Amino acid sequence: MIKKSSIISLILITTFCIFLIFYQSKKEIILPKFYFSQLLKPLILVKDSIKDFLLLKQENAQLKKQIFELSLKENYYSSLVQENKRLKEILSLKEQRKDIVAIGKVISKGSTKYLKTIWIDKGSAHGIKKDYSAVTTNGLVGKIVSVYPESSEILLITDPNFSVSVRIERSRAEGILSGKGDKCVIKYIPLEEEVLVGDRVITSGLDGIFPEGVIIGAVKSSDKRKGLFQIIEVIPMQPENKIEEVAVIKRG
Amino acid sequence: MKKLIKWISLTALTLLIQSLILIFTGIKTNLFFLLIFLFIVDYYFPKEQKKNISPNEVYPLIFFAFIGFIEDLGQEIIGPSIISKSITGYLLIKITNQFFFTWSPPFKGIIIFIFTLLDEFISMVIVMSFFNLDFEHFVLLKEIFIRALINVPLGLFISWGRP
Repeated sequence: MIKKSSIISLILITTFCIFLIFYQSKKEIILPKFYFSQLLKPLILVKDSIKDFLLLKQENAQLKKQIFELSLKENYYSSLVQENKRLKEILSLKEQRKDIVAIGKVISKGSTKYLKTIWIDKGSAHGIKKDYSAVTTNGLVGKIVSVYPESSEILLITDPNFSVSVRIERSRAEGILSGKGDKCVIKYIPLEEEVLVGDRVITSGLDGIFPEGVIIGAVKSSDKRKGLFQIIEVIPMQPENKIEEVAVIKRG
Repeated sequence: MKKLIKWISLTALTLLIQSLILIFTGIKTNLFFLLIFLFIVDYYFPKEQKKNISPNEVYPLIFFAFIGFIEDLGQEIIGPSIISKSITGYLLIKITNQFFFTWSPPFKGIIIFIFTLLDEFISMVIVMSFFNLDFEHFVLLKEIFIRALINVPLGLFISWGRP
């Protein structure tokens, strides 16, 4: 059943509102807008903070990833720069020495546990033969002990099986240098020869294998207490764990 | 007086929840219609009607208009929601007064859906008629439809087990 009072109320409300809306549409009445959300400003701040936090977390993860990628790239570029530098040095060495046969890149460490050797990616196909010397810009590395068409094995100067005829650059005293694991020793230099710590050791070329004048290392110490000869410890100029490219030169 | 405080508090709470939903999710809802529905559930469902304890219809109409006014305050145009809430509230009272309806959950769901649509539609028509506002009609209809759909489960929840 429809009540009169309620119908009248509804009509009154509607009519009043229609008038109100009409005058608002004509801009004759402008009512202020209530921003309820302003009352909830602290909550909005909390919401924004949470949103910011999540965004920052995400951004942080992305940046970390980017840093990692960039550091990888940087390492790669820095290794390229180093390689470029080394290759330039080797090339300058090749220009200086006309007896260089090939320049090889070290591809692996020695395959046997008895010998201290390294392998390079150049072999007989590139003119390399057994007993050729291997050098870097720092000095003598060793000699070729086995040759294959596309690779060669180099016996390092620190191997006990290695020996070379050497000379103390300053005093010109001659002796035989051989490997001793991680260093080298010079034998057969008489006690009366003056050998000082830091003297440079070069090849003498008397063995017919190594060309004359290739730097090997520097004198670390000299022991005159035993026998007729001094025992001179030599530190190689070229650390064996930092060999990356070598130049192979013909027999002396 | 207690009832007045209760319903004013519920209005404030509805406004708060609606604003929070808007702030946190960006979804515009029509929870004020649910408030009207809750009011009618409380005072006009057949059980109460049979007991003859339902209030007269003028005060509820004023309450519906008040709800509409609160809603309009946030819209910058006072009037459209007052009219729509009053009309839908009144029609809802008339529907609940009919004894031949069985207020099963599906029926309640349909009623909530249709009346929310009606409420939104009246308000939309008034605004479109009086103001030169541009609307993307399809988007607007979609929004209205979604608001009506959201109200269905919420309306069923607040009127669960009643009558």
